[in-house]
Amino acid sequence: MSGKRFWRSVEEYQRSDAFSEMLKVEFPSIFELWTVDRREVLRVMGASLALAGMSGCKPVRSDDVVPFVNRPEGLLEGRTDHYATAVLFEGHAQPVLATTSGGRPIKLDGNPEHPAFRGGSTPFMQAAILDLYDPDRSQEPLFGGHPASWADFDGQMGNWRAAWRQNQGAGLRILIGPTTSPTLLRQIAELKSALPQARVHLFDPLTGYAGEAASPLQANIANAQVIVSLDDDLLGPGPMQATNARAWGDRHGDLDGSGRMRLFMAETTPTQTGAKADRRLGIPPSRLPTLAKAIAGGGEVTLTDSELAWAREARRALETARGRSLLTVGRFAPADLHSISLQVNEALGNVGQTCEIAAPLGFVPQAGDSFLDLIRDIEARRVSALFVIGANPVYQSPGDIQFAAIYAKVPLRVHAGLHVDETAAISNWHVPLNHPLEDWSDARSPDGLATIIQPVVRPMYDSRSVHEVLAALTADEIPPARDIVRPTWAKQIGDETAWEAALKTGFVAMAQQAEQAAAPVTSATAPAPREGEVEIVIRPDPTIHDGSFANNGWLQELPKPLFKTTWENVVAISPRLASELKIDSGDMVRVDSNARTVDGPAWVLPGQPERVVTLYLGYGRKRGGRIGTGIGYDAYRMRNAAQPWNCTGTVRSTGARTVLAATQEQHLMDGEVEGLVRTVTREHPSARREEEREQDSFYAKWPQGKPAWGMVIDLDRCIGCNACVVACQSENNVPVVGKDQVARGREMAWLRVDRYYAGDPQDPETHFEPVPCMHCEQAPCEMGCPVHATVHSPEGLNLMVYNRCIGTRTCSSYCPYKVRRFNWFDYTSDAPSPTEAQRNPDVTVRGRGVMEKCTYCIQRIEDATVQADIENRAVREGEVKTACQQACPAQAISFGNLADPESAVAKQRRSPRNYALLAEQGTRPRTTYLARIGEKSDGE
Amino acid sequence: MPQIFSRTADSWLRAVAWGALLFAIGLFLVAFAFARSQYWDVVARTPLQPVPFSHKHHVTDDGIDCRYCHSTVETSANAGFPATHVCMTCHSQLWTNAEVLAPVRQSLAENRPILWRRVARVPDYVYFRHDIHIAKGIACVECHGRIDRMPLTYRAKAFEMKFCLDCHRDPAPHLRPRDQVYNFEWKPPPDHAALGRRLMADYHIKSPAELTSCGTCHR
Amino acid sequence: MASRTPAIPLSETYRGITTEVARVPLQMPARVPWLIALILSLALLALFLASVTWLFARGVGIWGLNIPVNWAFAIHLYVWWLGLGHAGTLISAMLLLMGQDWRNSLNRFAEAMTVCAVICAGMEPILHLGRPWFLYWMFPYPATMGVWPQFRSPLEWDIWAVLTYLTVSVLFWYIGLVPDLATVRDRAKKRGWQVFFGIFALGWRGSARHWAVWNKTYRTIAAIAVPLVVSVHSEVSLLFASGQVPGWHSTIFPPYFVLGAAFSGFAMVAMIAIVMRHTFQLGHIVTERHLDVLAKVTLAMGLMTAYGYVFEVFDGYYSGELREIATLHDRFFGAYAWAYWGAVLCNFVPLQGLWVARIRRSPVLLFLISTSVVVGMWLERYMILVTSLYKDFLPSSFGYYHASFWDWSTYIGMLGLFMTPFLLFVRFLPSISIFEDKEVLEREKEAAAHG
Repeated sequence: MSGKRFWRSVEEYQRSDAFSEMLKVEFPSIFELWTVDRREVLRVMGASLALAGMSGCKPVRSDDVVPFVNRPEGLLEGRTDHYATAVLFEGHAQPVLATTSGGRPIKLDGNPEHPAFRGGSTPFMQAAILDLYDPDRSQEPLFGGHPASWADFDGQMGNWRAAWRQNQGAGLRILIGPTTSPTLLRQIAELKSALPQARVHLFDPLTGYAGEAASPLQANIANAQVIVSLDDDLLGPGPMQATNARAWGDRHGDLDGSGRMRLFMAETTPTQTGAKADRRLGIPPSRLPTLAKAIAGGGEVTLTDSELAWAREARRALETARGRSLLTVGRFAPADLHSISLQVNEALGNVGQTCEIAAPLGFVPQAGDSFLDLIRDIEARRVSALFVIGANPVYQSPGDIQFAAIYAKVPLRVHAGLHVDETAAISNWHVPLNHPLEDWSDARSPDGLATIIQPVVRPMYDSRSVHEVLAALTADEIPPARDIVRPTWAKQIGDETAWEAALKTGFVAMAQQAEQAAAPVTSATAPAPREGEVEIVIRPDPTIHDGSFANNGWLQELPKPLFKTTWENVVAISPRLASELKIDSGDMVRVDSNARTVDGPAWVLPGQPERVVTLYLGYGRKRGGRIGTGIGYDAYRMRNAAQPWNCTGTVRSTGARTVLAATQEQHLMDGEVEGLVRTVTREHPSARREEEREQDSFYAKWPQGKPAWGMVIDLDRCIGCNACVVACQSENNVPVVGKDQVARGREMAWLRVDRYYAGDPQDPETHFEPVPCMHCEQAPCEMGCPVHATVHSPEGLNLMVYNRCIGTRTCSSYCPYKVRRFNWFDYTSDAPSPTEAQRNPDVTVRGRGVMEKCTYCIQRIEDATVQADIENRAVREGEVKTACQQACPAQAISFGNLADPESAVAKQRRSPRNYALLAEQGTRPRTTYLARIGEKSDGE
Repeated sequence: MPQIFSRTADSWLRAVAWGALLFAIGLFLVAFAFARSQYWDVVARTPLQPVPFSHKHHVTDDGIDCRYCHSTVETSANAGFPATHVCMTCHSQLWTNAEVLAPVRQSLAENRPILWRRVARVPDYVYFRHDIHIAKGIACVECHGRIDRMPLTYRAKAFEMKFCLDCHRDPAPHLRPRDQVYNFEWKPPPDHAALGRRLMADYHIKSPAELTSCGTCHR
Repeated sequence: MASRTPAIPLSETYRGITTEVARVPLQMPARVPWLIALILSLALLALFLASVTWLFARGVGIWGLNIPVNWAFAIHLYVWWLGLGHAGTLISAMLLLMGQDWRNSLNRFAEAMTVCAVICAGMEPILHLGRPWFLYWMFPYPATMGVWPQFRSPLEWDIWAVLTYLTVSVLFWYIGLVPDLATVRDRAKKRGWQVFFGIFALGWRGSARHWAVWNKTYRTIAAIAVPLVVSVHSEVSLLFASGQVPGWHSTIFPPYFVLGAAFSGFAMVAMIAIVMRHTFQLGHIVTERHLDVLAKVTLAMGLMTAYGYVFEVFDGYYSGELREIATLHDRFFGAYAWAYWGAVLCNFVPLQGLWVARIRRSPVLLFLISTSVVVGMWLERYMILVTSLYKDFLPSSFGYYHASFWDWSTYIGMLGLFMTPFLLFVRFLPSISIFEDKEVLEREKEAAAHG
């Protein structure tokens, strides 16, 4: 297995001239030096120290002890507690286990009890904790932008209520963001019966503005042997990412390929799913329907040979696995494709097996209550009062609707949300909502189960639950949120013990209540480009999504899975188009469609269909908080209400160039690096190479201690979702350093996911490879340190002693894997009290001038070790889980005691797929990899 | 040509040279001593507490067990500080209107914690755990000294890293039967060394290599 | 021997030498240029202090460093400065023991230069630290922490290398100075000068016993100093060779570094010699013969360094190690090829001129060539450091280094730290060994008489 060259970016592949890089100013202007001073760091860490709610009334000195007045039952200082609850993603529940320490939540992880999620996380789930502590959250009601009190608001509400009672709520409209909360649905129903004239509209920018319903077909890929996906990013961001990834993991990483799932992916723009697919096809959106027809049978004429071949093979695969196969269509794909997939799956007898026809879980407005209908009614002056609840239409409206102007025509505008956002800014009233972790609610996870959301911390600000706000529309006396939520479950969960149990387990089985049929689907197929035009695909940003995560530092600094850029959105263009336009990643391009334009930095994306340009939503916020505001471009402007995901237009270079903060540098890649990520086949399963067998040595094997901690990462399972990266950041108090620092190559992530490409840049193989510290048994770093600040533990951990480090950085110079990170400035002490409140008390917060790196979550190891030691026993298998391992939805990471031959890691180490990174360096890493299983191995 | 220097100049020069050398050595010795001084280690200093609490009175005179107030010492990293209501369990009966106890009553009344000054304190980057030390037969007195004789509480031992290491490098002499951990009067038996060896085995005390591995206390 | 042109022209008289040299501290010949130079270097020194203040206030992040290139200016300049220093020790100690007469006109200021250079070198690693205030942790002292430094680490050896080197250089320089201090003391007219020189002359009377003791001491320290020349820079090279970074992990490094060091050092001495003989009209004492010999040594050293270059290339290919070869290619054609070819160009091309006697004896040309060598070695250190680090093993962590404003200001400012003490030295102390030159003259006259 040799000859294959791995490469990470088109620049490398095309060997574009690195001298341009070299000629970059050797002297940055002196002003540039200020960009990283306190201002930047403050902005990034979000520094508002004006948080009375967080600290006590009396200043507490560092050596003060603050005991309880009355110790709460069962609370142990210095120990953590766990609560089952949920955070929301697109209105869907993401069941989590919240870890609290001293009464404050410090970490979220997937709820291991939950039958669908089974402990799996997503980056968004992990990062939700930071939103709770977001110092830019709205903290008090605002009237006309000025601080007001709830009392004022309630007073006003009283008058309005009176009026609505008179006219049955005529002119009262509610625009609500996507929600699946049974309680909220109940409240809406009650509201409608109380005020028949009032109408509730749904604002769901990720499904559509015209009241489109999501695909009626609910995929359940756990049972699928063959999956043919038409632009359905199963493994990418979405409410089902964790569940799909778990199913994926269960069906991969197994050499006897019986249970292995085979994945065909036809995508209009590269996705994680495409990266992992066995057969990938890049195809422009306009041809996707034809491809679908080809699979359904017929209409093959206009397809290219490669497309045709792919369609035929997919078709064959589907048929060979009747009842165990699945044809799934992306949520962004035109409607008629959904009906095609329905037919095909029914024909193949897959319905009920790998997918079922499910009633929508969330709120579906009545026909004629779409967002567009609301616009029409406002224009017709039929709307006297508009309550916008948990939505941000001013920012998220399509470019062909000037919603700000239209909104202004409504006499009474009330906005309820977590932030004072673009919509709040032009509303008469803004009222702050609680973060889901702060109050009672409920929601349904995409698998249909419901989770009762219990608060894990008292509301930090003067905010209310969404239920209370909605209740206030009709009720004079507003009960607390719990008393609103509880009745919803009165029938199902009668007695309090059952209720307690439901809260503890974190999910409730729920009957798919028969709802009204899905609203008529209206979205049109992608328009074909005219001569000289390109097709434009619009997608949610891989880490900021629809923009609701814009003020989340972790997600902003999280490298996008495929681009590895941070802190802004890019314009993805194909390598061919790039060379045609003579542009390179980082060059500014102008995209022009329907007389609307955006300027953004180009990213030459391998695998991007040739004449397709992809724009990403979520950036260009005007009121996005201190770090979310004013970065990137706003792709919503390019959308059309009727056709939100596709349009056609032109793209050209503006001649300008920007510095992208990418964590994988863009430059020539000299030398041979094949062997870093390996692929084996079932026929030739051995990834280990002849020259890599254990070398004889005069020295004793070292260290010999028990347990011998080790980690194995299965590249066949890894989907590159980054959940592990955020989990690590949240567990280990890893600071956010800002775009400028990342651009200078100073990101702090202890765990990174490297992305390599192989083959033809138009249709490459994409590989993900998570790289934590290797904890080498023969660690080069340890040899360099003059003060013993990085040493080896008897259990084989490569320890980093921050408080001993003097910052010579020799360890990092010597580290072949470059996994060490350095505190170039003081990155931590400027953090505001909210951010500090999230920090893990069991992990030292590093100061300026010290080196840091992955510790295998030593705080967890020590905890388990001490517990075992108290009980005079050895640490049990599975007792220690590293944060990344716990978070991984695909079960790609396993960790444990190599000295115990029965442990999972020891078993995996014996697998022929096991190989070490840079084995020839003789570092004897404790972290090893399992080669990806492919249909052809490296070099073939 | 007149002499530039007096006849004693040479002696002066030597004196200065030697003086400089001695001064340098002296400076080092002073610094060395200072780093080990009670002042630097904040030993034997009694900070001003909201209530002049006496361990001597409560432990020796009243014979209250450590765990009555420091209730989580066996189950958690922190020994745990008594909540106000713990104090009040007795003082709602005894000294019900003693002036010195006013802050305690006030704390309960206003439901506001009493702010004690911490006496035994290790740096933030040191992760000390009470539970494991108790479980392995390390007595309170090993680190806190004869706290049962302290009218006002002060730090008895210098919490320098070396202090921890001395024990972690050779725990045997510091071990005692678990049931004697809270006993300040316990006297080691004549064959203490033998006892130490036995307890090392019984309590599965780890090897010095493991105990002194940096990760044991620093993360 | 006799056929060779004498180091010091026979026309010189003992008194002549004394007057010429002693005159410099006593009644400064070139006041104006000296003042200008001093003001300039004081300005640089101020820049240095400003940069260091900012550095300590903010952290090393103000430099252009990153991961992977987390070593750059501070370390490559550390190597460079230390290299410059080497010639001083070589000339004084080694040539003294080898009884090379011509050294005697050069050794004094060469040693002074060494001292200044070593001071600068010593600063660099301290500035480079992330937490310089904990520098003392690198010393093996009985700490309350109960832990010791790690003696395996090349950085630990560094400390000792530099400290030893500094101590020995200072001692050697000062002891050599004593007899001349006495001379100047005796010739001094003003009371202040008399006392000043008097104190440092340690009551030297030039008695036979004084000379006997002095000789023993001087030669002993010389004997100690000689091995240092080799050991110090060998050790410094291990700072790189100990890591397995491609382009560093090579056994050629110690000799390669030592030769490079001497190479740049002699060039530096030549530069200073030329400047001084010009400004202070010391043409009779620092003669063309001296320049000639200096040039020859520089040439020799240069050629040996060149061998190092050649061998490094051979080494790379011979190893067959993919990454070694990749790094090699990267040096030739990569983003920092300018540093590599710059080094080759400055170090070896003008150097070839020194084959010609006329060029060797032409102060101007020799000065230019030496300058190019010093610059060339600067580039070489930079190249060795950066081209290896910025692309080591995993392509995912390749990254470029761009020197920031503060990188440059710290470096340029440090030139002030180097020049200021040196200027004070030439102003206030006999910068050329009076008595040793008299010895030379004596011996030459003898040779002439018998020859």
